[in-house]
Amino acid sequence: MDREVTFIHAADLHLDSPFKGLMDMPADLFEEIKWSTFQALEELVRAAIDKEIDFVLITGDLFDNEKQSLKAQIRLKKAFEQLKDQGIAVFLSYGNHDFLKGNIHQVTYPDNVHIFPDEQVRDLDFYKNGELLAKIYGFSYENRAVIENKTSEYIIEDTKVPFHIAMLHGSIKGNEEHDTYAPFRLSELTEKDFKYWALGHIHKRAVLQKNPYIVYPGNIQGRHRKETGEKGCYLVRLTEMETTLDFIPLNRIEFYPLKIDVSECVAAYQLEAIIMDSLKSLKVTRPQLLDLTLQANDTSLRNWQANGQLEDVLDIINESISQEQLWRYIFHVQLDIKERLEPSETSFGEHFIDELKRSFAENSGIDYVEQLYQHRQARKYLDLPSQEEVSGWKQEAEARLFDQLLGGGRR
Amino acid sequence: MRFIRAKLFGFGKWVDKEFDFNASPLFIYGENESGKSTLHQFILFMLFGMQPKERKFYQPKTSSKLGGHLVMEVPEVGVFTIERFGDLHNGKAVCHAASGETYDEAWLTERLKGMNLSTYEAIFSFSALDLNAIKQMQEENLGDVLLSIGLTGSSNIYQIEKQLDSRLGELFKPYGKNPEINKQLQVVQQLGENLAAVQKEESTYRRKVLESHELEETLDKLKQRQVNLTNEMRSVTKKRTALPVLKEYQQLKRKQAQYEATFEFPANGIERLEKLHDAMRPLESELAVLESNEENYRYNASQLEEKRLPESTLELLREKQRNKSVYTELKNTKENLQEKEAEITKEITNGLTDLQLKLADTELQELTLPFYIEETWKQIKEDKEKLEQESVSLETEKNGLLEEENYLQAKLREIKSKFLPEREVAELRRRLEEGKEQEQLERLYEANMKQQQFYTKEKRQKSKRVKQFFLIGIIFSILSTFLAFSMDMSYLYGVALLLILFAAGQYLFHKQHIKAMEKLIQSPPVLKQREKLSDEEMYRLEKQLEAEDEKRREWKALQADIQQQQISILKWEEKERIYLEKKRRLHDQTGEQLVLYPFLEPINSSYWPDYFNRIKELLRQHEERERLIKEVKEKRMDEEQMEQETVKFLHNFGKTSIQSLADGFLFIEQTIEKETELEHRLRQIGELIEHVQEQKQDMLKRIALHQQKITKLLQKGQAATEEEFYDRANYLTEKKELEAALEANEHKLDTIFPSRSWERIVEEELDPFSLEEREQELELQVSTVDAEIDHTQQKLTEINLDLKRLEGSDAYSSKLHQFEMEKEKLRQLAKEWSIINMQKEILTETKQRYQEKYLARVVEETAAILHTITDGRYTNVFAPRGKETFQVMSAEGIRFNVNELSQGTMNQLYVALRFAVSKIMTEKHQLPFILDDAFVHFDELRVKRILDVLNEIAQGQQVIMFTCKSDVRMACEKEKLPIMYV
Repeated sequence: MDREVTFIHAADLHLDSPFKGLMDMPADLFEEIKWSTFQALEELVRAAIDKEIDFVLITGDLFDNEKQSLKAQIRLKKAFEQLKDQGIAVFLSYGNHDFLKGNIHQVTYPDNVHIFPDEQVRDLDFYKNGELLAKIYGFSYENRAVIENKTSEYIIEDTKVPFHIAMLHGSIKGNEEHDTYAPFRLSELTEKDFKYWALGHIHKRAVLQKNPYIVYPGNIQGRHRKETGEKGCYLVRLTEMETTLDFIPLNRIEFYPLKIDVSECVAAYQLEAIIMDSLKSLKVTRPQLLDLTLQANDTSLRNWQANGQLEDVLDIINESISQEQLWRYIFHVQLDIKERLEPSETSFGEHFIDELKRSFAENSGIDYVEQLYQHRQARKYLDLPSQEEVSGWKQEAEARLFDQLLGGGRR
Repeated sequence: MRFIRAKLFGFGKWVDKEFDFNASPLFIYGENESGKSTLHQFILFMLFGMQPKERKFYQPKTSSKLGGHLVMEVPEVGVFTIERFGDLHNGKAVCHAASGETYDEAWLTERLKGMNLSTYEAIFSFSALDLNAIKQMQEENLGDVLLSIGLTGSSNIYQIEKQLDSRLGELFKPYGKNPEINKQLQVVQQLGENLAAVQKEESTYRRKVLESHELEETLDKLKQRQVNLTNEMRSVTKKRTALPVLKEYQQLKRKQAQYEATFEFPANGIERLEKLHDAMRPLESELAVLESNEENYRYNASQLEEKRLPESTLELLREKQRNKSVYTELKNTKENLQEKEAEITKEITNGLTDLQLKLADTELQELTLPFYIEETWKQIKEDKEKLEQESVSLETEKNGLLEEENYLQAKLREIKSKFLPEREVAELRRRLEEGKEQEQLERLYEANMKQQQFYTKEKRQKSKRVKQFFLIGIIFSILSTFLAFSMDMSYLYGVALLLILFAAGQYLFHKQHIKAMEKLIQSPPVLKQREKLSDEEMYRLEKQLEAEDEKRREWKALQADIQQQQISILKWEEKERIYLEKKRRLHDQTGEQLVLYPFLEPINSSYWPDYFNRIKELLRQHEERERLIKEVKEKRMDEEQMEQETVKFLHNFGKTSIQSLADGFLFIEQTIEKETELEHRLRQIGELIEHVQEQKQDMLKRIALHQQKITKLLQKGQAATEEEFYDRANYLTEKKELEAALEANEHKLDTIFPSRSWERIVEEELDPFSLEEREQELELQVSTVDAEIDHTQQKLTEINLDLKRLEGSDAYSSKLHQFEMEKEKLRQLAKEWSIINMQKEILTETKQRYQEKYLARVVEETAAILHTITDGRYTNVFAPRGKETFQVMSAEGIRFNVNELSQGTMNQLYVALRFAVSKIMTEKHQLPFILDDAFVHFDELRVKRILDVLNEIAQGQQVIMFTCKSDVRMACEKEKLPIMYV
């Protein structure tokens, strides 16, 4: 008989961690947003019960120690209790955000929850109908970071057991985008005989490899504009012959990047109709936080932004679309303007603009933000921006200044 | 770049007017209202266009057209024409290059390097009105000028700066309260504090959980203690009530100590011993009975033994008895024989009667029939039958022969009568012969004729062919002779000779051959003409002859048959003779037999063989009867002898009364029967004795078995005697009773103190008073523990409630989200501020750098120009600083404020400044300079000097100056500078 196990692989729940980049949200939407991570967790439990799975794997970052709410862990406990009622086991390891020593609450979970107790890679047994069917390997972060490569510690015990599953919270070596915790090379995972590598830490879901499956399920609820689209977990079915993988979306709110060309607008009030039109044409399956990019050929759009007309238009739109059952809300807008006002190199205006350009190029820009960011009160709440951020701001400042100088000249 | 000419189709007062600008500097002189300014405006209109309103102002009164051409030259394109009309293309320019291509306004703007009207006027144009500006010109003003030039005339930097400043002020002030960021900071701070407070509370969760656990543990311990106390209390109470039983137990236990000794004793020993004895008793009595029975049997046996006859006597009697059966058998055999004899006698008599033979019973004694007689009789019978058959067949044969002979004779006669006469037959035969011969001759003649025709034909052909061959042979021989002669080939002569010979040879041969053939053919047969018979007639003749032949053949055959017939009759006569001989011999034989056996007389000799067998059977029966009579006689004699012997024996035995054999046998039988009965009874008694003995043996074995068991039982009980065995049994019974009492007591204790807990209690010294004391003490302790439990329970409930509240609360979570959102807002505001601050700061910085850089160069150039115009009176110029104005330095090294300068010098400084600006800022792209009566206030000398400067400048750059001043005109004329009058 072909034996099999089915399980859900999730990671990076970040329960109750606040969303980033939201401000001045309407109270009711904000309320929903606050609950969204928990609702995603509820969805996960529901899926686990509906699909009659054997166990749930959660590979780290269930919550954030730094912004730790008791609610997060209490809810988690309740979720685990629901799973226990259905006879579903949970295997979890802690990651860099919920590392063991940083947990101030330490809620006790029911006995169907099996936790990897320390940084040593260990294996836990899964029994089904009295048969030892799977061994699950993993470790938990004790401290804020694990920077050594842990792959060598993953060693298969008892080859008679049909399924060996590894859990690893970390990222591929040399990945610049993220902090490299527990770095590994793909080949180091492939060369071991595990049936499935349940990874965590990277919020964007990715199947790095099939055979064996090496999978980041991503987080279960996007929490800022870069975490777009459907978020959820993987339903995995392992048999001795094959592995099947199904994605189950869990997120209640979706971050949705939306690009609209408004080149045709000659007046700010026309924006509303164009934006509304393109919003209507979109299919909506769950509430969305829209990250709007407006494209235009000339700089009048920037002027409308500068003089607040754009904001007014967006307020009107938001008021309308946030009332719907599947509400949407434009929480962020950025402009993509093709025209860049600049005198040609050989023309009369070159001298000053040249100087201006030189100034922007020569200046890091960081000096100009210090006044605020070093302010005795403000520095408590404002982190000094990164060089990248500052240079972005500088570009924005340059563009705006050119618009004002040259656009004004044209007028 | 320079203007070449302008053609005004209609502009202000000018209609269809052309101006040539082919000189530099070019002075355009005209009275006021002469149209100078209009021309100036036309040039500007051509270059930069005009708003419709302004255009309307220049609409000519006399023409509907507004616009014209301006021909220009630029370095990279060359000469081209700008065409612009108010009513065409909405006032947009159309440019025609020398190459014939056409361009639009944008192209023109590009040629003008982005220059617009205001910039153009700022750089390349000034009038008398501007001259005094230098007086008030301060650093800032000059900077603005330069900036306005550098930014192609954008003069809104101030405005931008101002906007940025005010926005910054709205956003943030380091010590302010109301700007947005300051406000947001307060919000965030407030939330942060709230959050910290909530977090502090929430962080007590863990402590409270621990506390809760501790309390639970304490509670558990207390409850355990309570249970223990209650249990002890219960046990003390029990002890008090169960005291008598406990005491009894102790007593029994002490008594039990005396019965400590114990040994092995068979289970139910006494009972088992009794049982064994009981089992043995019936066996012993039965044994006694068996012994007395045996004695009785033996007595009876001896009595019977005495009554018995001696064995020899008995044997004799038995022998005699066996003779009885012999006797009986003899008697039976004799009777059987007699019966058989009677039977046979009867059969013989019957047989003789049946056969009707003349033969008496007694005659049979003498009659013998030898074996060959039968054969003889059979022969006689067969011969007689054969002769009878032969006589019949001879008779039949004789009749057949006679009949056949008659038939043949008749037939012969009939055929003979049908014959034709001999002569007639010969005639027929001759005619037929002749007919056949004639036919054959005809056929031969016909064949001969055919052959002759064929040979004649062939002869003709052959002779023709021979001739041809002969000719050809001659021709070839001539040819070869000729060839041999002409080609000188001698062997060809030979060939020619051979050919001639060959041709001649074959010709001769054929001639001969034909002759022979002709002889052969030329002898035709001669046909004799005779009477010819037809076919039908021939056939008929043949038939007649054939029929005659047939008849003669038949007649001959019949004659042969008659001869055969005669021979058959002769053979038959011979057969008859032989038959008669045989018949006589048979008669002789039959007579012989009748002499030998006269009784055959009445019997036909054909049945003699059958009588032979019957007579033979009668003879055999007769013999059998003779033998039986003899045997009967012998048996009777044996009988008589036996009777005598038996009677004699019995007389000897003492029984004289017996006379007959039958009586004797009866006595003997009775005696033997009596003896046999005695013997039977004795054997029965013997068997009984044996049986009794077996029973006795069995009984003894069983008794011994029981005895063994008893011994074993005693050994097991370690007793030598049965008495000792009983003593030991008693001891053990008493011990068991004691144990039973103890057990009953224990059982009672068990019901009171479950699970053998009394075992420990009975060890104790049990005293009713101390027990009571302990009970009171325990009661006190229980009430203390109860109170403690209540207290702990209450505390636990409180803490658990607290925990529940914390778990259910989302205060921290909610605050955190809000805090993050507000912080985000703060971040956004900070970003906005940063961007604006960057704009402002960099703009300010750039402005300063720009001004510093270009001001120095402009001032330097101004000094150079001023030096020229003032003919070296002023050597240096200092740019204004702060609120100061321009300063110039004289050749003597004295510095003058601009206000301290004469009007003329001041004007000169301005002109120098304007040309300097133009030169520095437009180094690469110089447009024509247009001055509009700039030197109104100049005296003659100064005009001349300024003209010199202009002249010099005009060498590198086109300069056009409009003037209405006649002194300027005159100066120009004097200086021979190009001048145009309007």
